Amino acid sequence: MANEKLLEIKNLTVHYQSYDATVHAVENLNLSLGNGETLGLVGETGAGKTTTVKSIMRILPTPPARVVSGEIFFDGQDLLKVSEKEMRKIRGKEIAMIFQDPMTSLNPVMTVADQIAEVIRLHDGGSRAEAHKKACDMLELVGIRPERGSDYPHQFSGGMKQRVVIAMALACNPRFLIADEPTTALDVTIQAQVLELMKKLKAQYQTAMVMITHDLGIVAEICDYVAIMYAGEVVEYGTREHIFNSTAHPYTKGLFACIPDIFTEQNELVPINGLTPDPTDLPQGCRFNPRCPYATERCRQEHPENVEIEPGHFVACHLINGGGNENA
Amino acid sequence: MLKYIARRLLMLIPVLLGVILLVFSLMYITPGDPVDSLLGDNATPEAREALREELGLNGGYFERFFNYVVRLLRGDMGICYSTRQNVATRIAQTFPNTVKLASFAVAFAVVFGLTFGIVSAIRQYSIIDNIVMSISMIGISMPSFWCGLLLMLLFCVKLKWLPASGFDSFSCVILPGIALGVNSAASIARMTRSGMLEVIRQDYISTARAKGLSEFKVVTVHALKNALIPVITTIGMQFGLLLGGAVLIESIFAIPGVGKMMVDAIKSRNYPVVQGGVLVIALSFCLVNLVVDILYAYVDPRVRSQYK
Amino acid sequence: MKKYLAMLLACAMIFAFAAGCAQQNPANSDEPTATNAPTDVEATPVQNTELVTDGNETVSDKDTINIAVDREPATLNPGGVSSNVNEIIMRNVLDTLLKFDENAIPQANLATEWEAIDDLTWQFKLRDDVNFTNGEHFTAKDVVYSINRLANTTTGASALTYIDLSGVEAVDDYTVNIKTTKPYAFLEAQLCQAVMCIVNEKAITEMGEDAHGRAPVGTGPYMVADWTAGESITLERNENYWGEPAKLKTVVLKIMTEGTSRTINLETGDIDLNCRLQTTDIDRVEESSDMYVLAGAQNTLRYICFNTSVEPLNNVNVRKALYHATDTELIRETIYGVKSSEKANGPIPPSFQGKNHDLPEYEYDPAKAKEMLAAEGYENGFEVSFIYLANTTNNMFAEMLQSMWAEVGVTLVLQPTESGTLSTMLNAGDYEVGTAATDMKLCDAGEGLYAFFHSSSRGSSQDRTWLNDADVDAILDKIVTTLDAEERNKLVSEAEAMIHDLCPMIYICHPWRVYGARSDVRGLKVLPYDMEYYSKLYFVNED
Repeated sequence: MANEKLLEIKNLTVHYQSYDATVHAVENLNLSLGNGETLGLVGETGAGKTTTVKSIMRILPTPPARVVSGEIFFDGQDLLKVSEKEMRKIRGKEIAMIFQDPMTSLNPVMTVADQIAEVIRLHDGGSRAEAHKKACDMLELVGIRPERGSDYPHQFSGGMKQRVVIAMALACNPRFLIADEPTTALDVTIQAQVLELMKKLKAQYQTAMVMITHDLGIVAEICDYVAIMYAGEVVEYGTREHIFNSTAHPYTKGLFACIPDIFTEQNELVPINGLTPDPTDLPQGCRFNPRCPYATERCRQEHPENVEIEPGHFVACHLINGGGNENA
Repeated sequence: MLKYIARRLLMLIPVLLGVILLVFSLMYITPGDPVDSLLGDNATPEAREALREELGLNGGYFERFFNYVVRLLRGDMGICYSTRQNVATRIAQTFPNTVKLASFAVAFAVVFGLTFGIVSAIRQYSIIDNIVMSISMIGISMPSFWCGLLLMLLFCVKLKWLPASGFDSFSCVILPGIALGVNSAASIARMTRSGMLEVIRQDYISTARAKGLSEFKVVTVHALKNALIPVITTIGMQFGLLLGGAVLIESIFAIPGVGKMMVDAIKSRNYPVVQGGVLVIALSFCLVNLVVDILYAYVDPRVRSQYK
Repeated sequence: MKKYLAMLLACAMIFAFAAGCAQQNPANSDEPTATNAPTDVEATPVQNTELVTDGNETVSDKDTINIAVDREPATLNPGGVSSNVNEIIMRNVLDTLLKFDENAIPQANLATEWEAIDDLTWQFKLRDDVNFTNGEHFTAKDVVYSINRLANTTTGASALTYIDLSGVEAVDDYTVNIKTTKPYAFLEAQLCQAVMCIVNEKAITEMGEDAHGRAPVGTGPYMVADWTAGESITLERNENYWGEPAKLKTVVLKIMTEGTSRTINLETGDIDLNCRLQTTDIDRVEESSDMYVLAGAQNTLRYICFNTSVEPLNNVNVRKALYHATDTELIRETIYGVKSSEKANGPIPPSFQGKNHDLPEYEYDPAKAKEMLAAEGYENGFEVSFIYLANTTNNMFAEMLQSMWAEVGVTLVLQPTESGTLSTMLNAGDYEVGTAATDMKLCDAGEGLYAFFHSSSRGSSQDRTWLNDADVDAILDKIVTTLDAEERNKLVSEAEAMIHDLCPMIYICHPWRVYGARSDVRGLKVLPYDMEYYSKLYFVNED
């Protein structure tokens, strides 16, 4: 199984170390993804989604961040073990990343074409002119007139900037794309356009993708697999159908309950009670137990393991794993 | 851009007029009479009156101001009361020295300020960072004349590496330049550090890293240019402070500069020299800041587009 | 952990700086003990006006000396804007008819002999072997020109107050007559002043006044070779000098306005002679084996002056009470230093002829002062303003005086003032109490008293008391016109006693001139007036 997977994360644990506390950002995380597949990484803010993908890229700020343990196999190679020099060849070339806020993810003092050309020259070599030409082609591909390449980011709208970012990410034809909430900062109408563009290009380039989002609508539209993260752990993982049709984990259920559904009569949305736990002081047992309406004594004592409840559908919950009575 | 520069140069006129008016008025209302310091002991009232007439001190406020401005427009800055030389000549003798001193100080401040600012930002919270920031705190709070004296004691008296006075060779500029630039170097270092830290946290730095750029390139190509934007403004402001600070340093290191000339002139109520000196300093401050603003536009396209 | 380390480091650095600072100025740390020193122990000032050596030294062939001066002269023309520094340079480059010897007695210079032919006319015989540096021969015509020229100069006219210009005439090439408007006892001293330096008409006409002021043509042992504004003036030896030639070929006068930097430069050897050593640096220079200190009495008086024309200071008993309320010795020791000043009782320096050595002292006695004030109706004291040049030492002076006078109920309102304003206010009589220091320029007690206390001197920069007393005026007038020295000295003693009794001033001290020199410098002598003879300086070889 390991060989056919493009990306495989095993037991990844990342901590942020400050003077007086340790933030358990990611704990024992396991994920895998095949060629051309799309994984949605869903969870509330602070669940460790961005930390996870940044550790794949190895662009976490260290210190304070520290990968405590685990392995990240990309194409069979443990990214955490390769040299920084090797890693630089992978970044941008094999793995590209799209950041959350297009407003800030472009350098304000460089023209957009230069910023795209930079990554092309870095990995594919070639002359300045060739790189520039290719950069303009990429702009055209994402629907921006090539002559605007000599403009600066502040001369573009948000949606246009995100197109530039996408062009930049895809410039070296990467096999794996990480998109960190690529549409959150955009207007709803623009969101749809950008998503459409991403879907199209993904299909065209056969790129595998991890998409971070907390929008289940996007997940439904674009993802093949879904991982639900809570407080640094994956609590439920499966195909899109598994997650949407046989939702198992109480937290996932909670997420769905937060979405308004116009086809059913609902008087009010049901928010999940409480807040995400303080990552420096995580609760004992299941991390979701203080907010879980079904929590039992066991949930408060013992940390649940991931269990495969149907082929390819993993859940970490004592209630599902037969320990408790679900409808109590 | 040219239009912008032309507009800025045109703006100089009211600014300089304001400076002249201010200095002229200040000197006018300050008690003290140049005739006293010129004639000294036992002057007869006739001699005093004659001198007042000769120096044009007898007119009213507006008359004297008007006369001064008219002569200034003709390019005549007046005659130094004590040496009877043309003020322009005196400034021509002293100003290059001050410029030399201030330029060295700025160069020192920029080179050291930027380097240490960048290093301590990249190595935030490391020992280097802590040392640099501690030293820069001392640097900011240390008065420049005291720093000058300490440097003199260390490098001239104890180590005997550098001359303690004179202004005829490059080695003479080093100590006063450093003494003058320490304050600025320290504040530039702190500015650069906080600017860099701010920039390094920006998403586009993560973008740059994600492209696979080396850390060196990330810092020099992407972070530095952005971090420099506020620093450039600081440098422009620092230049004004340096010209002011030069007054003390020039006295300590016995450098024949504009600052020293003006202090002497103020003491003896040598109005034309004070006015001429302030005018030249104000002018150079304005010009330096114009250059800074142009540089600013060069570095930051967002500003550039405003100038069009 | 790292934070603490950095803090520790910063602390260590601050201490290092502080230590460096303390080392820099050992005099500072000594000062508090000086103020607490028991007053009955007589501190003996070491008046060292000349370096005494064993005479076994060999003369070095070093022929350039660097001398620090504390300000830049405006011009070297006689009668131009004047300061101590330009007068000294002028006297080294130009020549006067007469010049002071080391006791400030006028002696022959360009004039070889002279006599008063009548009460008003003096005749001078001149040297016949003197040439100006432009090649012109020196004659009586140059003297007539030089004196007449002063009438049209900025500051020179006041030197002509007693001179009748129509009576200044060349009798022949080497004889000149100078007539005074009334019998004038100080003409000889006046002719020693720098303003009376002899210049050459042709040189001034050819060069123009301004250019001549930067490189005057004279007959002195040196000539100006270069003047870099704000930086230095270089003098070269006049090879055709008529007298004993200068020992050193080149004298570089470096303009250093900062006292501390003059000391540091002396320490580094960048200068060989500091003509104005700061009092606080005396110990530092004395302790070093590379340098030595010379100090000696000057013609200067440091005083607290009363404006005797304003209430309540026009009351002589109030003035006397305030004198009793002032611990002058404490101020002298604390601020002017026992090593660089001498006690003043009366306005005339102790070394001057005619000095009255029997003046009673206004001893420090606050209780008595209080009593006297009460007797004048000021049992609750009064408020009075105190004007002074704003600088560190004067601020200290003012605060000491403020606390002393507070003890007798007098409130002193401090009015620190910047120099330009100060002289204008003092000259205008626009003050109540002040402090200043004034020179007796002619080094003559009689002339000094006249300038300080005659009612006609009011408004000049030497009269700081605004005194208007008919008896004092009468005796001073008499002194000026008495040509017999012995009789004049008697009158001077009498006048000093009279003035002392009127108490127009509180005399603090006579500050000394203090020099710091490198240990190989010889030929320097501290003179009681503003002068250093550069031509006598030389170096010796050191082992």
